[in-house]
Amino acid sequence: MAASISRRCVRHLSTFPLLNARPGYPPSLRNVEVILPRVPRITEGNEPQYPPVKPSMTSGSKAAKQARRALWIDNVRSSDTPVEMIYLLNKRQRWQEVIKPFSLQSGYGHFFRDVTKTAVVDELPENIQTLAESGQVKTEVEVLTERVIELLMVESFSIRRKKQHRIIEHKERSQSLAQNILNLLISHLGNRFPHLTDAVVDGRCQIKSFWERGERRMQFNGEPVCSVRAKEPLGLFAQTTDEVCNGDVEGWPYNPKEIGIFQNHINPVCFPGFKYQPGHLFPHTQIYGVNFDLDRAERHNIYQEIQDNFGLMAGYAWINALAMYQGYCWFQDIPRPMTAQVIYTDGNRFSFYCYQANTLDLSENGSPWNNVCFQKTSLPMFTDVKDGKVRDFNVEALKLLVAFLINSPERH
Amino acid sequence: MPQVHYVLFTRQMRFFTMENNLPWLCNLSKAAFLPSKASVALFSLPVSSWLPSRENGQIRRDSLEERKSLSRRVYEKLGFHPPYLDRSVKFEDIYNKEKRKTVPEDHPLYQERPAYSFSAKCRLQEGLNQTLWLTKSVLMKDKMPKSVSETVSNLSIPNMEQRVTEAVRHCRQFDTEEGIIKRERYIYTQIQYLQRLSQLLGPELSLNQSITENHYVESSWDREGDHIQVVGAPKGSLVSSRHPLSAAASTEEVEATRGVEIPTFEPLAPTLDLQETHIYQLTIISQDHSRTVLLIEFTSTIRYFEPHPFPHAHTRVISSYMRWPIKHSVSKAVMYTFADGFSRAKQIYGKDYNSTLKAPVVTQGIDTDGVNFGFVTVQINTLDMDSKDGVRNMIWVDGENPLYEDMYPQDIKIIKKKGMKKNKRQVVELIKKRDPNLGCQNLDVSVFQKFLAFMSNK
Repeated sequence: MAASISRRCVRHLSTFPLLNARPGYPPSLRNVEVILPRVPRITEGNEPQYPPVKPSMTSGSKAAKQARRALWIDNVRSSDTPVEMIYLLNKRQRWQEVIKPFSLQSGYGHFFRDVTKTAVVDELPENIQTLAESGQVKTEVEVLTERVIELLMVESFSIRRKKQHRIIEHKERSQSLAQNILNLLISHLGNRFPHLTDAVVDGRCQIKSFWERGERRMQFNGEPVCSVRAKEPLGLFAQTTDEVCNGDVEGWPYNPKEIGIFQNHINPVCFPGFKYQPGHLFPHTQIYGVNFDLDRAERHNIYQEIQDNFGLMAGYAWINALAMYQGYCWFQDIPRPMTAQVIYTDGNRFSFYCYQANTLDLSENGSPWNNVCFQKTSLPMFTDVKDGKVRDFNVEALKLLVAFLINSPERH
Repeated sequence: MPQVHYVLFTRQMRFFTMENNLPWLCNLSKAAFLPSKASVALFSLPVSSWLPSRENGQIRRDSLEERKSLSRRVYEKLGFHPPYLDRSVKFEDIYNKEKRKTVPEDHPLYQERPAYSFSAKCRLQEGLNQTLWLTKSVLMKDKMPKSVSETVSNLSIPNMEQRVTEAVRHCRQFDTEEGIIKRERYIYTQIQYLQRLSQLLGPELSLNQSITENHYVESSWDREGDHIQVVGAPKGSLVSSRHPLSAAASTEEVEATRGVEIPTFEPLAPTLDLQETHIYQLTIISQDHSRTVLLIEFTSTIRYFEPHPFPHAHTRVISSYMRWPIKHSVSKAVMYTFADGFSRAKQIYGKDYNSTLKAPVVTQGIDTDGVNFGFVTVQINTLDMDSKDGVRNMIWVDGENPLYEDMYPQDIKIIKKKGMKKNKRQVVELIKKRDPNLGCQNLDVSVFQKFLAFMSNK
C-alpha cells in the first residue's frame, strides 16, 4: 500500500520509466510527420460532384442548431392539421411573457404596439362610420332606445347585489351590463340579419394565444364577457396599399419587467374560447368588461391609456388564436388580412375598436405591412340614473353598437 | 434515621435561587454538602416543603399574565373591554354544534313560537307532498295547463334539431379547456344557449322580456299557525315580463278545489327540513342588505321598484347543480316559483289582503340538470293561507323530461373504500373512457319545444 502511494507521487516527477509502466509507441515512430494528400482548390468550372455536406443533427455547433430549427420550421409548415401544428409549437417549455389586455403601470402602450406591430388610428374606419349613420341603423335605434333605457334602469334598481369589495362591484356591474346589452341586440337583430343567428356566442370564456416577435415570446390571457364567431370573414377596414399599413412602428428595446409584465416558464396555450372544431373560425365581435382595480387606474391617471390600448392587444390575440386554428402561424403567414371588432365597457363609458391584422409574421425580414387598430374611446352612454330616470342618454354609443353587430361578413 | 434525599442542582432548576425563595432556602443550613466538587446536596427535609405552595394551575395562570402585552394591560387597568380573545371561553363552547343551537332567551327579538325558512340548500325529503301543504295547493292531474300543451307541437325554429344538437355538443364537449367540463359550468351555458335560441321566435320576446341572473326573492306567510318564509337567490335566472300571464285554469276549475283535502304525513311534521329559528321580527328591520344569520325579516318583496317596466315574474330557471334526485329539485323549483307569484300578488293587492284573488297570478318555473328538464306552473288563487277552508292554489308539474341520453364522460370524484371485515376493498372509478363524440344520443326535440312554449307563453 505504502509503496503504491509513494510511486504515484514520484511517477510524474521521475524521468526514468518505472518497472510496471506500459510500453508506448516505439521511439522510432514518435516524431513522424503525417503527410496528407493535397486537395485541389475549388474554382469555377471545377465544382464538386458530391452532394453538399450536411451538418450533424446531434452536435452543439451553430450550424447544427440552425439546421435543427430549419427542420422544425419545415415540419410546422407541412403539418397536416392545425392541432399537430400547435402541438409542435407548443410542446417545449420556454420563458413566456404573460400579457393581459391591460396593465396598471404607465407607459406600457409602446410595448403593446411593438409586440403586435400595430399602428393606431384615432378614428373608426369609413365603412363603420357610413354604416352608423345609414337609415338602416336609424330605424333599429329608434325601436331599441326605449328598451335599452329600461335595461339600464333594471340594472341599477332591481338587481340585488351584496355589499362587496369595490373591485368586485365594478367587475359585476360592468360585465352584467355588457352581457345583457349584447344578448338583447343579438336576439333583437337576429331575426333580420341571418349572420347573427348563424354565429356562435361563447359566454364568459377564456381566450389564450401565443406568438413570437424576434426573441420575445408572448402568452396572452383574456376573459371576455361574450365573443361572437362567424363562418365567414368580415370585410377589410383598410387596403394593404394604404399608408396606414406601410408605416413603421417604434421599437421598444427595454425590459418589460419595468411595466409590470413578467415571465413565466410554461408551455404556451392556444385557446380561442373553444376546443378545436371546424366551422366558425372567423372573429366577429367581442365585448370586455372591467377586470381590474378601476379606482386605482383613475387615481394614477392611467385609465385613458388602458382604454387606448385595450382593443389593440385583445384584437390581435383573438385573431392570432383563430388563425392558428385555421392552420396559420408566424412561420406561415395568412393569405388575406383578418379583421375583428372589440368593445370595452366600464358600465358607463364604451370604447370601440376595429382591428385589422395584415400579417402574423412579425420578424424583421418578414412582410412589409404592419397591423392597424382603428378606435374611438371613452364614449359615454349615460351619466347617471336618478329618480327612476336615465340622464343624458347618448344615442351615438348605441348606434355604433348596432353598426358593429350589423356589419355582415363577406364571402370570398 | 432522618430521611435522606439526593437532589441535583442544575441550570434548569434555577427557581430555587430566586429572591422570593430566599427565606425558604435558609433552612439549608442543616444540609451537609459533600466534600467533592460534584454539585450534589443532601437535605434532611421532605421534598414537599421545598417547593412553593401553589394551587393547581397557578403557574400557568401566572405565566399567561407575564406574557400579556402592554396594550392589553392598559386596557384592563382602565376597565375597558380588551379587543382580544377571552381565554376563559373554551374552543369547544364556540364550535360545539349542540351548544351553538341553544337559543339565547335574553335576546330582545326572542319569541317562543318558531319560524321556518326555506332556502336554496333546504332539501325537502317528502318532495312534492310537502310543498303542497306548505303552499296550500292542489296537484293537478294534467302535466301542463291546456293553453300551454296545445301550443307545444306547433312551435319550431328553423333547423331546430341541428341547432339543439350543436348547443348540447358545444356545452358538453367544446366549451372549456378541460377534458371533462364541470357540471356547474355546462348547466349555465346550456340555459343561456337555449334562451338565445328561444328568442328566434320573434322580436316581441326580446322587447317584452328581461332576464336577470341569480334574482333575489323573499316572501312569507302564515300556514296553520306557523310562520313560513322562502328566501334566497338560487342559481339560474329570472325572466320577467311587461304583461302578466293569463290564467291557466278557468273559474269553474278553481271553484272545484274548494273541498279537496291536502295530504299530511303524520307523525312527521310538514315543516320538516326547514330552518327553524326563534329570533325574528314580523316587520322590515332595515333595507340594508347586510344581515345576521339568525335574523329573519318577514317581508314579501321581489325587489322591484315602483315604475318598473317588467314587474311580472314570468319564468324562473333554476340550475340544480347539486346531485339531488328529481323529486327534491322539482320541489325546490315549486317553492321558488310560488314565492315569486306570492310576492307579486302581495304587491298588487296590499300587505293586509287575505282572501281569494279577483284575477289569479300565474308564474312558471324550469328546473334543469343540463340533461333533465322539469316544468312547473303555479296559479295562485288565494292569499288566505292560514285557514283550512276556502279555495286552494294550483300546481302543474312535469318532472322528468330528458333532452338527450347522456353518454358523456362523467365528472364524479373517485371514492376509495378501505376493506373492513365484511366488505372488500374497492374503488369506484370514473367512466372516463367514453367517447365524447357519442355523448349526445336520442335527442328529444319535444323537450325543447316545451321550453319554447314556456318562454313564449303570454
